[in-house]
Parts: sequence; C-alpha cells; structure tokens
Amino acid sequence: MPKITVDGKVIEAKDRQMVLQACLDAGVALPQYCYHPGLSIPASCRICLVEVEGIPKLVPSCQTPVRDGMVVYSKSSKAIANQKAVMEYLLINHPLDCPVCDQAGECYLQDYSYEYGRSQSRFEEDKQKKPKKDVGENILLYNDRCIMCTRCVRFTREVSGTSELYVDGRGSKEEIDIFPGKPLNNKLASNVVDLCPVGALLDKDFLFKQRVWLLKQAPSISPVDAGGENIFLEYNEGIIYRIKPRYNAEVNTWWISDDTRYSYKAVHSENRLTKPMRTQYGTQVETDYAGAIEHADSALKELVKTNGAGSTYAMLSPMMANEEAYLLATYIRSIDPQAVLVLGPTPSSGADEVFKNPANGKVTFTIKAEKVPNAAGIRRVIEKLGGPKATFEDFTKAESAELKKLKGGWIVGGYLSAWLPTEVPALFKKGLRIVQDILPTSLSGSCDVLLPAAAWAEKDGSWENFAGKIQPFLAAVPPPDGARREGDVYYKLLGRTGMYNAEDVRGEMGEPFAQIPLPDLETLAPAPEFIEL
Amino acid sequence: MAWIAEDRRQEQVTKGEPLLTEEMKSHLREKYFPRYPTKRAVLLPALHHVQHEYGWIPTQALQEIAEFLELAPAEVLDTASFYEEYWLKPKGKYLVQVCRSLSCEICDSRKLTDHVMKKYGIDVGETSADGRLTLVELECLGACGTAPVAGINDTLHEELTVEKLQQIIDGLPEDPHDYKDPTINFAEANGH
Ligand code: SF4
Ligand code: FES
Repeated sequence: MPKITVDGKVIEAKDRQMVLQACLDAGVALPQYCYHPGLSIPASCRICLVEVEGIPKLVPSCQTPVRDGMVVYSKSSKAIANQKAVMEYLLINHPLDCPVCDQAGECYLQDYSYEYGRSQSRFEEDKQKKPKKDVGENILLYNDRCIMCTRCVRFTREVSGTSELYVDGRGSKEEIDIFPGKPLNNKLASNVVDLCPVGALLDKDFLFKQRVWLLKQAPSISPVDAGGENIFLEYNEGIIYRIKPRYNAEVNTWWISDDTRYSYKAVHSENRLTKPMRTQYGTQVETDYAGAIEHADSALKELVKTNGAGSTYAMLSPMMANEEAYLLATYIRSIDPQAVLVLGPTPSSGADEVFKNPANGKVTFTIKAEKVPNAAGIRRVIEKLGGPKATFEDFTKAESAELKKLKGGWIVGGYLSAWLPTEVPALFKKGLRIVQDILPTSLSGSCDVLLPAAAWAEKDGSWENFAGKIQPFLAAVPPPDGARREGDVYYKLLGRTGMYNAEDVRGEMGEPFAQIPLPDLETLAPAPEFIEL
Repeated sequence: MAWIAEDRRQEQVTKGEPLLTEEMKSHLREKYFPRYPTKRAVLLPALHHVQHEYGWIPTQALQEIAEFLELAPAEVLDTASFYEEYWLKPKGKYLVQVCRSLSCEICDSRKLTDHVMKKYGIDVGETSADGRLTLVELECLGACGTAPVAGINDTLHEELTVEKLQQIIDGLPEDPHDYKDPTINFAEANGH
C-alpha cells in the first residue's frame, strides 16, 4: 500500500486511489467542488490543486493517482494562492444571496469562502445575471448561483442514465439547462439537489421551508420498497421537512429514489387516524386509548374461550418493524397458542427498475418492485416463531380447514397509501376485527376496535431488505396526538413495564436480530474502494 | 423578471415536416458512419449537414439528430451550443465574418466592420432587415499576411478595402448554395 505525505502527515492510501480520496479517507480535509466519489472525475473546478514535490505545476488532487513516497502540500503558498484565486473567480458573478438561499448552512461556497477565500470582494464591475429555470417536477435551477461543477450533468449521464441536463454554451456564458420541453423528471432526479455543492439546484418541496441549521437528523430506512435505502429524516420540532440519502456502500451508495425522498408526506397527512374507536351496538364510537386496548384484549380472550385454540389470526403488516411483529405474535399466541400468523399484502410494481450507466452498462441503482420495506423480516419472524401460518392469498380464500375455523383477529396496516386489496378477505368483513393503522380504509371504518398507530418515522425498529440485510431505524418525530406506537400497545398487552424499546426486544428475539448494530454516525462519510481511472 | 423562473418544462418544439430528411440521413449513413467506431462521433458532421441545408439548426432538427444518432437531445444541444459556428438561431443567407485579430486590426479591419454596420443598419451579431447578411467579428482566420481579411460563408477574401468588400457583397448570388469559393475544386474535395 502506497504511503504519501500530506502537509507533513504520513497517510496510507489504497492502490490506484486518487490523492484527494486518500486524504478524505484519512480525515485530511481538502477542498473539492467537481469531485464526487460516485461520479467520473473531470477535474474542472481547480479548487483542489495541490503542490507535489518534483512536479513544477500544481496538480488536481482529485485526478492525480497516489504514488508511494509522494510528498503533497495543500497549504504551501502556491496552493493557497490558487485556492484564493479560484474562490475569487467563482464569487465574481455569484449573487451572494445567502439570506434567501436554501443551501445556506450546507453550502460549499460558504464553507470554502470561510476557509480558503478572502473576506472581501475586489470585483467592482456589474455581475452577470443568469436566469432561474423550472427544470423538473420537483426541481428549480437558479443559474446565477451555479459554479459549473457539472456534478448534476454527470449524474444524469452516468447514474440515472437519462441525460436530461447539459451545459449550454461555454466560457463565462455557460449555463446548466435542459433541452426545451424535456424535463428532469426521472425517478432519481432529486439526487441532483443533494449533489449540487451550492444552492443552484433546489428542491421545490423544501423551498423556503426551513433553515438547514435548525434541522436535526434521525437515521432511518426507506419505507417505500424492499431495497432498504439508508436515509436521514431531517426534522425540527416534531415535523419532518425533508429526507436525505445516508451513504451505505452495500445498499444505496449515495443516492435515493424520489419515491423515498418524498415518502415522509404520508407521515404528516391530514387523514392520519387519531381517534381510538370501538363498536357499541353495531356502530363505532370514540373511546380512550387505554379503554380501547382493554376492550381488544378482553374481546380476543372471550373469542378464544368460546371457540377454542386456532380461532384467531394476526395479520402482520410488512410495514411493521420486526420487533413489533414479534411482540404482537407473542401476545396473540399467549392467548391462542394456535393463532395463525399471516403476512399482510405485499404490493409489487411488477419489475425492478434498473438504472445503468450507458457508457459501460454498469448498474448504478435499482428500485425494487416490492413496494413494502419489510416482507422479508416479517417472514423471518413468522418462521422463527413457528406454529400455524398462512399466506395472504390463502387467507383471502380461506379454503383450508384451519383457516375456516378463524373467527377473528388482529390486523395491522401502517401502509403509506391505500393497501386493502380489491378482493377484500371475507375475514375482514366479519368476526372480531381489531385494527391498528395510520390512514383510513373501509376496514378502519367498520372494525370492532381501532387503534391509531405510528408511522415508521415515529418509532424505532428494524427492517430486513430484499437481500436479507436487517437494518435498524430510529424515530424522528412523535406520533400525532391520539395515536400510539404499536410497540407501546403490545408492551401494555403483554403486561410489561416501561416503554417499548426496540433494542431490548431485538436482544430477546435472538439471532440474527440481536446483533443488529445501531447506525454508526461516525462512519457515514463515503469511503469507496477506489475510483477507476 | 429575475425572480420569475423560466418554465423550461413545457414543450416548445413545434413538430413539422422532418428537417433531417431521409435523403440527408442516408447521406450521413453512407458517408460518415463507416468512418467512425460510434454513431455519437457523427454528431459534428450531422450538425454541419443540417446547418448547410437550412443556414442554421432549428430545435426540431436537434431532436431529429438525437433520435437518428441515438443520443439524448440534451447531449446534442450540449455539443451544438459549445461551438459558436453552429447557429441555433436563424441567420442571414450570408455570414460576413470580419477578422479582428492583431494583424487585421492594424490594417484597419475596424473600417470594414463599421462600413457594414452603417450601410445595413445592423450591429455586430445582427442580421440585415432583408435577411441577406449577418455580421460577426471573429478571431484569426489564419491569413495574417494578406490582412485585413473577412470570410463570407465558407470563402475567404483577402486584402480587403471597404470598396472591395462592398463589391463582393453586391455580387453575391441570390441562393447561397450557388456561392462557391473559386479557389476550391469542389468535385475533387468531395471525392476525398
Ligand atoms: S447546478 Fe449545481 S451541481 Fe449543477 S453544475 Fe451548477 S453548481 Fe454544479
Ligand atoms: S475537485 Fe479537483 S478539480 Fe474539482
């Protein structure tokens, strides 16, 4: 492994790695605009130039491979003069409208201006004014803030493979643009907003909503499909304002799909269920939460007493955390040891959507066809617990002797959109139906007990993605007034004290759940193996 | 107004009869495809071909080229807008290109520009009202020994004076396709 010296510090690099990436891996900060570990290297912004012993001119660290014994200076007078010059040029036509810019606070121009720039502008002439453009369903482009790093253009060419963005013109007149009438609307489009080092590409959804320094982050997992994309929920005072990708080399790398990005909206939907209900004399009436739980518990016990073991079921939703599924199954089996465990509907879009880099055919991103996050995990939990189980199809048909015996059960929804299949299972229309859900359905309006539940962003837990990777997620915001986390309800039913604690439950569940580590916020920085030349 | 975002999403390209005709396509296919390993490489000749035919490259044609060469329209526009010699807006039948580099400047090229501007009431970059002339200035045409020089479409004119330039302009044929550089043997050049 080559060793290089950067500003007097010896660091170990990987073979064929670029100086800049080696420095980033070793925790040595070097400025960069155009370089992104997930994209090709144009070395066009020139902020990363460093001095290398033996080479008379400055070299771009992002595009210079390491060589054993290389001596690099990023703080020599020549290197510093370059950094200052690049910053000055970039700011010549920059509008400096930070007070009204969404990027302020997470802007490379601001950070580097502070670290490498000068405090005052020497430019007295008129600035060039460039237009603002509406370039996509979710995306605005403020050309006057753009520094022409071309990250966004390379993303659409190399990752989404859709090539909507391009550089118009050249020199001081160049601008990012789309071909007229061909908007940037692909399913990965909003990643360009994250990529943009400045406030040029903006998410319409987040526009002027929050100053970014007010936001806190909770590590989470995408709820929209079985891919298990790693995300951050960014929230403030109980409201989620946006979702950002969280780097995970094995799952989603730097990107997330737009479906994931905007999935938080269901959490703050106006239609959220917030009133616990129970049926009295054939109609639903509002009740308090504790009363509803008690009612559910006694009704279920009553049912098993009259009909015997094997008369109840629990529909475990693939939106549930593994821990919750385990707790609910444990509870229902404590009443009815022969209760049937059913995995809820797992909607699918038919086929995975695969994105490729057209230049080399490499797969850059996949959106899974299975539109729920945890079908694999729930199957694992059901398997682990053993005992009677059924698929949702069998449950709907209810043909076997075992399923014909069912008289009632516990149904968990939690889906972010309408989930009841067109062919509603007969068992959803009769018998005892205790429903936990977050959004209204015909079932929630007719069931015997309705327990408003929490969305994924409101609780801790873990999900298993299509590849068998079990990943934990943490709560960002509390559930709305009147709704309770499923875990807390099950704790109460099981007679446990305290609040639901996902980590404790995982420990209790045994392998492989017990060993799931919480996301380590320290090692989130991208560290790809190496960048190809 | 600066704070209003231009809507770039709406379809602005009106579709009419194809501008990149079958005939043009087969010409490109026969003459240029065999020369390069990829279709992408034929982009520059294709743009030239369209520009030669219509005098400029309409947006619709850019789209047709993209389809023909299996490229994204944005990639075609990327390349076309990079080169100033590709005209993405209509220009006059004749492009008068006065050199403004050092040798020509010293030999009074400014006078040539001023003359055309005054005579046809246009600025540099503009087209005369009758659509016949577009005036531009550009850097060295590589004929410093015979400065001042100007190009008219593809033909270079050397050792110009205001009178000589006016004479040449007056003698331009109605159809620019009839206007050929007398010093080039086109039959030979095309067979090349
Ligand atoms: S819009 Fe942003 S990402 Fe794209 S070139 Fe400009 S600064 Fe870079
Ligand atoms: S980061 Fe190296 S030139 Fe842009």
